[in-house]
Amino acid sequence: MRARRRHWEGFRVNENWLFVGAAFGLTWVVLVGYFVRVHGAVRRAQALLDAAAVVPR
Amino acid sequence: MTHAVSLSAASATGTARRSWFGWFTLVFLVFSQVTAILISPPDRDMGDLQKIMYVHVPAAWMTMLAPLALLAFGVRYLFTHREEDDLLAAASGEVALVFAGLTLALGMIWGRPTWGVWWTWDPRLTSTLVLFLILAGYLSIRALIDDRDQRAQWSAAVGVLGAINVPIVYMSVRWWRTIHQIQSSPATVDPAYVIGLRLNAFAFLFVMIYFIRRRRDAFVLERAAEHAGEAAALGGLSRE
Repeated sequence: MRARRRHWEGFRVNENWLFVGAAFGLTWVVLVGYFVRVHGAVRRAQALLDAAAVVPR
Repeated sequence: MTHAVSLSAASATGTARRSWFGWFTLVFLVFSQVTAILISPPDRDMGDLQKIMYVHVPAAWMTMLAPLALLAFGVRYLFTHREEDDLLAAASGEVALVFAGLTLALGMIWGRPTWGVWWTWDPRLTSTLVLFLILAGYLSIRALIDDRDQRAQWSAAVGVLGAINVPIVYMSVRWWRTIHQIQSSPATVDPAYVIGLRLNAFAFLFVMIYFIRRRRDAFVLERAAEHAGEAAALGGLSRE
């Protein structure tokens, strides 16, 4: 345990990169999330339309 | 009385074209972000935090551009009463809300290490928040009104009024005392950062166009399903 702690002693995370990573990460989460939502809406609407087309007249 | 929307633009050919454009947009976005991160040197004052500019500034530009699309389609709907314009306006409004939320969140992430606070009631931040709330109100109105014509007219009016806030957001850094820097553009940033900013601006523009067209496709299909359901119900009634 002590040896492991010594191993990480000189290691410092550059805080700036944490914020940069958070910004880019959030951007991708939002864009991919919205894409999934829109794509899902298209598929659901297509399924509704297909279902409406087979309603017996 | 609105003109019914046609399904022609959501046909197989249109979908294939959108799929091609979607893949192009994805590749271009990845290329732009990687290029911008790799080629730009750390800023003298902010260090590597400057790289947040490549997502925050393009997102902010789309936050102002998408409501202008909403304005254009809304005005056109008020004159022509074409259902297609109403659906395009609705798609623009939703995409604008996504970019406005993203811009605010990215600004908070950038503000914490540079200003020392996540949020401050600065004119630029406040006016962007107001724009976000107006866009949320626009979508709420659309969700609350059942009658199609009434919904289209009221929401078009709200969309037009909301778009008036865009120039206020844009000029807020010049009209009032603010800690936010003046408008970023290739003319106001160091040449070392211009290529990355330009690339990402176009990448976000393509993303915005793709989202608006795809969301419009979903609205068109939903509307067509509604029309088909109504036609089937009317057919059943006429037989009785």
